Amino acid sequence: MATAVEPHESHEDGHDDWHHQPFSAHHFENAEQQFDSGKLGMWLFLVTEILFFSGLFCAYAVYRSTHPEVFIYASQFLDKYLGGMNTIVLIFSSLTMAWAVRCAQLGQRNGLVTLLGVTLFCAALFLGVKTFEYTEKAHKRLLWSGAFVKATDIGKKSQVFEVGKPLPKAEFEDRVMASLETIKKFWWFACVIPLVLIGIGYGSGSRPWRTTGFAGLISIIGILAGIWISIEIHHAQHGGDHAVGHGDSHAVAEHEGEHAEDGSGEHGHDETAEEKEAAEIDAEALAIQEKTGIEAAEAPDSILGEMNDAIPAISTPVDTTPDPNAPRNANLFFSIYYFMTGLHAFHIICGMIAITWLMVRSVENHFRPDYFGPVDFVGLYWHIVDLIWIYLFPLLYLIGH
Amino acid sequence: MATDVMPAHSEPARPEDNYLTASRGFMSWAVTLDHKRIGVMYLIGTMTAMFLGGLLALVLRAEHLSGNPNTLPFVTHDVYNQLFTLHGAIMVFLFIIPSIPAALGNFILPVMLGAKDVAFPRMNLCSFYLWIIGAIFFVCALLTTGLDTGWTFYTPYSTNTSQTNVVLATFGAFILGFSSIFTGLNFIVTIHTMRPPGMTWFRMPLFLWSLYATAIIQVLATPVLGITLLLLAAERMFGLGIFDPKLGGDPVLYQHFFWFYSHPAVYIMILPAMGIISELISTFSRKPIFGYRFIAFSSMAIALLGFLVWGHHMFTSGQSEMVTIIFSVLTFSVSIPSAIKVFNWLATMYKGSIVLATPMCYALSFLFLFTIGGLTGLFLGALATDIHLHDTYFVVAHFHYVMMGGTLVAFIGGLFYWWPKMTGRMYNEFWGQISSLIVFVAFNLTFFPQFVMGSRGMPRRYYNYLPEFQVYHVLSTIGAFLLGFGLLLAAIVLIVSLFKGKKAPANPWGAATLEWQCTSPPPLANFEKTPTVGNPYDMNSVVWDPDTESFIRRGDVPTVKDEATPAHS
Ligand code: HEM
Ligand SMILES: [Cu+2]
Repeated sequence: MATAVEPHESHEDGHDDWHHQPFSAHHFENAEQQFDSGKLGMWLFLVTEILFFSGLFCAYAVYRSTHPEVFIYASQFLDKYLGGMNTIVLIFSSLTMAWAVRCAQLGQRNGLVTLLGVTLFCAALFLGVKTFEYTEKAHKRLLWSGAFVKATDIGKKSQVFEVGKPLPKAEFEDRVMASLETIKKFWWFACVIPLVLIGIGYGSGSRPWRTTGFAGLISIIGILAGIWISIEIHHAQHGGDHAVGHGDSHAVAEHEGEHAEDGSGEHGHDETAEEKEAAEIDAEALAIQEKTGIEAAEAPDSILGEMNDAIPAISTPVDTTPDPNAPRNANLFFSIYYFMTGLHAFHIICGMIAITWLMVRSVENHFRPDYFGPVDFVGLYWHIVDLIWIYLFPLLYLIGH
Repeated sequence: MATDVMPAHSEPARPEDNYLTASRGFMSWAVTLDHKRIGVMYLIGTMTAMFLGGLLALVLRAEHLSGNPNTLPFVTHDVYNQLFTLHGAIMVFLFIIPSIPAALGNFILPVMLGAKDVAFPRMNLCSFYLWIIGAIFFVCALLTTGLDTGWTFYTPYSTNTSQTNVVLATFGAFILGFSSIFTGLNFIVTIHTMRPPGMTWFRMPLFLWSLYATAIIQVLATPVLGITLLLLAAERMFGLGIFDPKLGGDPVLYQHFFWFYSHPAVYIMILPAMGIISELISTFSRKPIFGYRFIAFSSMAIALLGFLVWGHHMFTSGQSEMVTIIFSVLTFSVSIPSAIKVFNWLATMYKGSIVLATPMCYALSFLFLFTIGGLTGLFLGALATDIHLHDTYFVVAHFHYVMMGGTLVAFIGGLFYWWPKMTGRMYNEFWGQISSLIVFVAFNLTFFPQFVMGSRGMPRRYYNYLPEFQVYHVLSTIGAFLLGFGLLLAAIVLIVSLFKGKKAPANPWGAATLEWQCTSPPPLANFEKTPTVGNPYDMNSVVWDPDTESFIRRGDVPTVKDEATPAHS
């Protein structure tokens, strides 16, 4: 493996005392071997990551080629400005990460810690934007294919979760709302945890705890900032008038719900059931609207309160007329969207944990010009996560624009 | 992983310590980072899985003693589905895939290479615990609802129809996948970066080449299985729709994804076995291996070509004719490197002084059985015949000839071969040979009739059968029980040796590879000083030394003193 890292080479001759250094593993002959092994291991790991995602890209390619109309139609519901912003945020975070690696190589501790912190903040910002996007879509009922199908049609008895179960529409919105309410009520918990960690850190004089606490705080502020920024962007685009864009988006879900039932062959009586349901929903929606109106007004937190406002689903009457332009199975796009971006978001979270761990270690001054492998390796990982997003963004957001 | 840093501990191990006696107690095993101990734990784990899978198989066979629905009262058609599913899933995911690389490979690879350990010992331990967790998932699925999808988890049955705990089993397989990836990744890095001076690529024993090729497949193919299983679980839990035609998805896509992993996975199973055979044939023919480079490169060729033939499992799934033909042609091409190996092994034996020690008996069985298995693979790879043979017992017989007759037999051969090294004890040669004879005969009795009935149209995975198939089924069942007995005998021979066996010398077989240069069992750090690397197949480099009852390096002060072989306790 070519390592191309100069600081390292200067150390090579000193490998006699290598075994007495703090982070040497006994089964390696010298620091270079340890570093090379780690690096090759990391590259192989990245290969497995790429192959892991490749299955999804493959599924994307298959369905994009068999159902191009679905992709063109459904991708208009994704907000390319939010996606674009996230892309810039991630690219910027890759820059700070690469810079952090450089700092580690040069032994600049303060620079390293700061840059890791910035990277972490960017990651959190990304997650915040994603949180808004997911929530907004859930409100608009832009969900994966099976979300509106009867439980009997998809997984059976031994289902672990009941998410696939069809919720009567009103109940569905109630649930989304309820979960949002829960977040609204308890979001400060999330802030308390890092604060407690910081407290423990100061109390016991333990730097690792303190650093972890600060990293947690950065993450939470980042997520909230992400949500807030997306709300601003959303407002800027829709100018407060959501109903227009919202009407047709609603139609996808409705339309799909019906199609799915058509396909299942046992309908007929479903039609009337649906109508009845629709009437119920209108009533329910009104009730909820009132409820949320109040709650939103007295929401303790302005950001999450605003998030409710920005998300129109509840506050506008449900439009049950199917969009005549919606292609069949349009929700397949969202199946792919949620799975790919969800898995990617999971990788971001893993990356955040790893960066936190790096921050702890760099505050402890573990990294030196002759030992900086972990920073380098996490950096590589971070770049691959970034790279995957760079493919996801155009493939999902920029179709047909 | 990259964080494999730990405080340097440089206290010299006492010379009489070997890896078994260096430390004691449960925790010294549970959190060990020593590749040898991890290998031994893997060995125990995979053997337990095999025992379980074997019992299930015996119940399956017993049910087929007659074509009546209730030969065994508790085996209903549902239970039958569960039995063959769990048998297959346990054998594939818990036993065969990890058996040779993770159990024998873990133990032998660093020693054979002349390294102190694998590159990432913690990741190695992590791999073992992932294996345990995956096994727990499987056992949970077994104890709760069972599993009835077949080991292939085909959609839409697995997502829409099955009433069993498919999600649990999928997660189990997912976790086992990561365990396998970790092993593979570790091996690749170890072979790349931990070779001692003098150990060039072409001085590596062929077992290492085969493990290297296997590791490449593990790293490249297993993630695809991972994502497939995640999609499957999401499909079942949330109705993702990707594999559900009702929601616009495509169930055949699942088959493509699954076989994209699972065909290469059959080479994960067979390549290490081929590596073992290369060692055994050369050592016990007392001749250098014939065509070293051909064997090494054919392993790599198999690893690469193996990725291109998955479609041969789907000839009847309605894929386009063009694709079908291409896959058929590629399937034929992949058998070329396998044949190269077989010819090289035969040429190695030619004019050799063959020693029929137990490992060699198993190696010869392998040659015979694998050849039949591979050749019948060609019947299946040929389009016209496969349309007739697909999903019949012919396929069952084919893959048992390669997986059991190939991999399992080579595994046992390797186990007998390295047993003295691992435990420091010699087993009873006579009973070992008897066990190999029983296994060989019983194996053919079990599976050869399946070729016959398969070609006459007996479908696989069926609970009942027509009377005309009874004779084959009965033969097969008798064979299966005999085979079970043979394997049990082999196990007994090995276990008895732990208590009664003679102390093993450093090099009982006269092999020239490095693992025989250290004591049996090896010391904690494998080699006190870096071993001398020579040609791994130069049988003239060692001579029999009657004093130590061991082979020693010719004209060389023994690198390791055999008197130092510690008492095993
Ligand atoms: C010599 C090269 C080989 C060829 C040409 C070959 C060909 C085939 C073909 C065409 C099938 C599909 C039959 C059908 O379903 O209609 C098949 C099935 C199978 N083969 Fe092989 N094979 C070869 C070697 C192996 C090896 C080495 C293994 C494992 C160690 C193996 C394991 C399997 C298994 C497990 C199946 C059945 C999977 C299932 O449907 O459950 N094969 N083989
Ligand atoms: Cu295959």
